Amino acid sequence: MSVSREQERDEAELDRRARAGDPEAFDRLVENHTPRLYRIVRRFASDRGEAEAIVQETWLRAWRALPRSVDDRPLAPWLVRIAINVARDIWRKKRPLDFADIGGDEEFLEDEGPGPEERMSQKEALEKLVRGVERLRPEYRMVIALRYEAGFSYQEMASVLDLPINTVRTHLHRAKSELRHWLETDDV
Amino acid sequence: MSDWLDDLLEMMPVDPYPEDLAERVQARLALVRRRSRRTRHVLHLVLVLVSIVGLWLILPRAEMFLTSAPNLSLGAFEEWLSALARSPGESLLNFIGTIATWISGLASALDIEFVLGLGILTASALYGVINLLSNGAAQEEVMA
Repeated sequence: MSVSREQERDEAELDRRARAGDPEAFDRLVENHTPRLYRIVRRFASDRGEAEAIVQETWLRAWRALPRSVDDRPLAPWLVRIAINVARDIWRKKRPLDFADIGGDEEFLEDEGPGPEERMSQKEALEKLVRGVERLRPEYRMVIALRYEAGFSYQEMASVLDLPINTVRTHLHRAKSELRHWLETDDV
Repeated sequence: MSDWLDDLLEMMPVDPYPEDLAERVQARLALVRRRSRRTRHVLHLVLVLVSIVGLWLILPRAEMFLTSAPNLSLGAFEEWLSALARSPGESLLNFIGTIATWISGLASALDIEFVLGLGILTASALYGVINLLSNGAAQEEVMA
């Protein structure tokens, strides 16, 4: 049996024991899943502190909900879904103006030509892109995180975000349009 | 179709992972578990105390409840059967009269304290059974 198959089996066993209320198994799941969960959450959270708070609250909610959760549901997307709900709860409590937004719902003309890498180095472009993602509205940051950090399909994103698949496509399209515009604007 | 922006988004750097985050989560979970254990213990203690109160309310009235019950010895039953064979109508009337006397005796014993005690004991017993069943099922799963 390959290492990955063994890992999958161990993971399934941990998952089963954790669902039955075994705290040690749950703590092992925390160790295994927190790094990836943090990467995804950090991409849509406003800052490091908020990302850490969301991850911690996600695990607390998961601990309370795990015994009642559906047995055959994969753990990782379920955790991401909880994290998104936690983030939405946090953002709901904050004032809307806490979120910088680099644009409204207006569409930007897509330039399918050469990218900004011709005008700046890749490192600079990536740094600018990170800043651009941070300035996107929360729901756009979420689709970017789920698509590019978690590697989810549209179907998985729709399920995790509890949105119709076409809305997810629209959000991603608009997020990318805004990022293109942001990257192609020299004076920002 | 993937374009230059997709490529950049896939390469986007993220803040370094805080190495102690999982430990902090585990510490918070341990705290939550300790608190919920403590709450459960307090709840159990309260239930034991409440059950004692329930028994204290019921026991003094139980004697009246038992003394008002009809005589259910084998001899009395045989006597009643032979009376039933001799004169069925009269025996049935006597039987109904005995039951009615017993019920009225019970009704006088069923004061508010007795009902309250009975309710408390029933609720405690139900909680205990539910708790036992859910703990047993979880334990079985962990041990399997």
